[in-house]
Amino acid sequence: MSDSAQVKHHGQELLERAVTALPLPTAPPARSTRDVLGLHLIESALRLEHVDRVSEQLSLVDATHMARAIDIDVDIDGMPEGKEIALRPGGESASTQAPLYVPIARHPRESLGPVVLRDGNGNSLPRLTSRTTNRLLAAGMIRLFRTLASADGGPQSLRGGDLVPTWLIEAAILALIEDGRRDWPVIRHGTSMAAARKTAIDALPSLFTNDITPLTQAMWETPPVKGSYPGKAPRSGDSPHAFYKLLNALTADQFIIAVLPPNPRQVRISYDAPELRGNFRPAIRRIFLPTRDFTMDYETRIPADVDSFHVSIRVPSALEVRRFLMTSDADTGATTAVLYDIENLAHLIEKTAADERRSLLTRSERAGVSSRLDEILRRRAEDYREYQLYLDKLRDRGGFNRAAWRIDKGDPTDMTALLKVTRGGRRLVTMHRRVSEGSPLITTGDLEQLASYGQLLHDAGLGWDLHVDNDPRESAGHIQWRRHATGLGLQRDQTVRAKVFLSLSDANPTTAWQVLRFTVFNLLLVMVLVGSLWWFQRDQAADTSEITQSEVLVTLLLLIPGLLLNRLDLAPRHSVVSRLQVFPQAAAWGSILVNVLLAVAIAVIPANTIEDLRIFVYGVPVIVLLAFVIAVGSYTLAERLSRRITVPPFEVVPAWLRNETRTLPIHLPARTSVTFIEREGDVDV
Amino acid sequence: MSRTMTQATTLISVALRAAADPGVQFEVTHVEGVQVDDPTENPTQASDWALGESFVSYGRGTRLELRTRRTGRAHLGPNEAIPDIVKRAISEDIPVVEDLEAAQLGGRVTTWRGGTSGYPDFFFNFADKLDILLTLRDDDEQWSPADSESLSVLLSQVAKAAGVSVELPITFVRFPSAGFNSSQRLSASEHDSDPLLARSVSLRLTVGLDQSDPRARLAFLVTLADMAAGRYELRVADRRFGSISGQWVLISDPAVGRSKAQDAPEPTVSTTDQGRSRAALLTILGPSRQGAVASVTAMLRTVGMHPRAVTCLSLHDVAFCHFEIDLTAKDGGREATWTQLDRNGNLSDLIERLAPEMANHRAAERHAARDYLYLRGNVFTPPPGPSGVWHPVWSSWEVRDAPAVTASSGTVEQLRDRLADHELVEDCQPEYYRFRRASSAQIVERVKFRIRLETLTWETVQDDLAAICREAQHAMRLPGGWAPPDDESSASLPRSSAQRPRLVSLRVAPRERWLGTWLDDPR
Repeated sequence: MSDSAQVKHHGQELLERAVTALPLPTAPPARSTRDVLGLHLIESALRLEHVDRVSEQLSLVDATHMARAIDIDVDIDGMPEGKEIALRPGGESASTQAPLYVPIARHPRESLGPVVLRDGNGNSLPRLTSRTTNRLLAAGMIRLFRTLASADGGPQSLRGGDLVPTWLIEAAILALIEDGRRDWPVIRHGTSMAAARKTAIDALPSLFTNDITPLTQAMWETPPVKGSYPGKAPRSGDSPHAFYKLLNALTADQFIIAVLPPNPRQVRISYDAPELRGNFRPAIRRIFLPTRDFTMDYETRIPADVDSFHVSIRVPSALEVRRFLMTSDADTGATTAVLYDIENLAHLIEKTAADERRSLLTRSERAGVSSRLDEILRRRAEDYREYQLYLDKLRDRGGFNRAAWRIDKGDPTDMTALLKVTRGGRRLVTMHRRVSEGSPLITTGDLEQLASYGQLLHDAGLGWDLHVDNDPRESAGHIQWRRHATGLGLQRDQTVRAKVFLSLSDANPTTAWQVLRFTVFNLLLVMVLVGSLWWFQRDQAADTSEITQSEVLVTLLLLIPGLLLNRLDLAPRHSVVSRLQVFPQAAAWGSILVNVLLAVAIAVIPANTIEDLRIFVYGVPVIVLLAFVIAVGSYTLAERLSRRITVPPFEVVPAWLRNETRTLPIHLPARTSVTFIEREGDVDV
Repeated sequence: MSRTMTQATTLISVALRAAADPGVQFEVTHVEGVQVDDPTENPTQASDWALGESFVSYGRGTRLELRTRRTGRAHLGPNEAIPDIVKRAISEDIPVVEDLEAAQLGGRVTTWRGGTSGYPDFFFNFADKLDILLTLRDDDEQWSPADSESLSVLLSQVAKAAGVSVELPITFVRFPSAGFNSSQRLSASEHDSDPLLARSVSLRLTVGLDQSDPRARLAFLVTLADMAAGRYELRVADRRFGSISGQWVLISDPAVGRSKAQDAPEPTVSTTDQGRSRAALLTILGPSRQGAVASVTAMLRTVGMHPRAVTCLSLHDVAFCHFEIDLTAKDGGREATWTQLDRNGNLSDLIERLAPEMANHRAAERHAARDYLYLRGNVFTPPPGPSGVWHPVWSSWEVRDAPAVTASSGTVEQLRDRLADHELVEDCQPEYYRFRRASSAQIVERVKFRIRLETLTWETVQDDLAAICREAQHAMRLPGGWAPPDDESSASLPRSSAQRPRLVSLRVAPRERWLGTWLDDPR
């Protein structure tokens, strides 16, 4: 993890480049004076304490674009003490009836279209222009920079009489946030760099450092105490400074700020968010996927104080929702803590194998780790049960046959036994349900064994929980996300990353069958025509009627498949349906092409050519068409079989769930689906 | 500055605090030789600090009152300006204090008022915390200077292990604190994980944990376990799922490994007559920084000032380390030195006076010591400690729609009377009490009492205590069972019934953990 400290955060790079590229200012950059309001807006936009409920209605526009209609319930009373006054432009001196600036969301600047906010009655609500918003936020960030520069332990170089370095950094922050400029030329000043610019660049590392300045620890020398203090523990959290992360987020995203009257206190705001673009995937690669469905995932963030989050989806009637799942990292913090504790426990056991003084400590650590691990596994088992019920509902809908849930033999009693049975995490969750009740999971274990528990638990991704479609329907779905009532010893109000997984299949699965029938018929037609032609040509060596026969054959070869092809329903080129049918379509067009080539050959080649050539001309098309029939046939068969896969083997689906019914070897990496991501990196709230 | 710079919202809230609240105003009151059961010796301080935090702590015959508030626009009264002393502190960038001569109780009350510029550079954000309880010996009947010395050694060792070796911030220290009696110690039952004694010779310490260094917690515990082995009883807060603060797990039993624990120095024992014991109060305050408690305790130990009682905590980013110093010295000259000291001053001056041989410490360290102040109390003869077995009772509550100006809701006194009136209870005294104004209309309070039963039967004591607490809680919760605080400032104004102060979520419990269920936030 220490390597990650060497990698520059994108925000850091942006700031350094801007400081390098901007001209040296000769006066303080003009900025908004409402810097405290700007800081309050940033804080409020990150935490969104006033947002109670969020519901998102997703709809696929085409295979690479997704539209979202977002409903947000805003409760002004949910703001912390003093926030309401702080978000009122004018502050305390303003009238209590003055409107508030309320941040409600943020969206990537690059995909931003006009956003119209509407309240529950459908009336449109005013919102700050992006220019005003960014001016306020930039002023807030400059305020933050000044606080850091003047704090204890801040850089001395910025405190002298020369203010140009400070102005330069401020100008850089302004240029980044107000203009949203993310593309800076790399300028190498070399030795000719101005002194002020050099001061500014040199001050950045000490300005934005995570290191502690232990001001008092060496104040007095204590008399040496015998006994072993452990050496200073190595730091593992070399995370980038929050200022850089904020700067990156503010430059990349546009904050949406509504101007709301102080009354009513509860408002429902609806708007259409900018469309998201998914990553493009060449159609040819999809042939090798284990499922024939169109799969997509969508990643979003659930604000810290939101208790209830809804995602619903509506798809065109030509499509069928095969799976609709959501997974969130709500328990990831607790799982990481347990993993660290297991690691610590391993070191403790290693160091104090026979030290009686630490035996009670080791025992209590074991008990602590066991009980929390048990709770995490219990939650996953609960999620798994929900998933089974979901599959039962799907079966009732007539989607597919229910798979048998296999359970291995053997009764694990603790973690070591569990490890033997689960083989790399396979069926870890269901096996855990069979661990003898009441016995702690971790009772024994040396360093190596504990390390393998850690690896197993890490690989299983136990921190990701699962939420399923609560009422599976043909062309719609709805998932509700709720917070767990009980924390796992960590803060409950954290921002949660959620990933939605959607698997769509053709609602009219006969398309593949139609194509199969078409190719089979075409093959038979070609075989009959070619056979009859061969027969005629063998009997009548040179006849005047042969040209007429060829014309009839060519007409039949071109006309009949053309008529059949017209009867196939082919979807628009970019739609999801056409993505699903891309292979059958290609087969249909391919067999037409074979017919055309064959017809041309028959028309061109004179009847009295040598026999070998004729065999070649008539034989190859038949073989190619036969290959098409086999390919489409196996595709259709695979499509049928893929309906039996209980857990889609995709990366978005948590590993522990995939392990429960894994049909592919465990070491094979999971597949990726078409991904719609709103934001890449994000700030910790 | 600390590691939470990785978290954006913490960073912003610190910047906002620095922008909105320049400076912190504080008030420290020492009361010496106090008989806590005498209400005339417990005057309730009227306060006009609208939004503040206060802490009242009872030591061995002493009382400490701490009150702080920020001096931002939002925390001052409508017509109030920033106090001059805070302005001075901000301009000089060091804490400033002035001594108020008080004639109360025959000069036994000393009050200081002061201000600091506020220390928004302490950015620690706790994801979790770790409570430890170290018991020195079984009973609290006799206190000797030797105990002071071992406490001094223990305190500085623990503070160094936490604050310096693994760099975890110490957020709360208290001695004496609630502890376990010997019969509880023998039983390994789950139900005996709560202390039955209100005061034992136990040191309670809380350190904040964050996720940046997952090894620090265990490294600290290993150090403590090695240190305590064979000498002290060490308990830590249970880390199992569903456990909350106040539930203890035994980590080190003095009976285990006694032979191996010879590497730490034993305190040099000097026997002094209990009756001749002399003591004085000392408060050290300054910015809440990483390692501050460790430095202060190390300093006290180095200059030979050994405490009888300790309370360290942080209010509004100001660290208060409060000691009851045992002046009964081996050489006898310490009392004379003490009385020659200024009543308050810079910490570096104190060191210079007490240990001139250490005065040549480095300039950088002197600069750091400049930010810390000491407040010295008078020398007094501590009254004999309370006799009998005392049990702890914890309580917490909120007052909503509270009057705008009050420093206490009066609930502590009412609850104390309720508990003392119970037929099973012989006596009830407060141990400490904490008051915080969460917002302009909301007060949060928490108190720990100690009660002595009429007849003590160890077999039924848990049930008796539970019954006493339940009855007090019911009585307070009944309509009319609680008298809202007087509000003179707005008594003339007509108030609608909805705005009358309400007592909310009152809990009275013999177990600390019952105050909040484990469904609550672990903090």
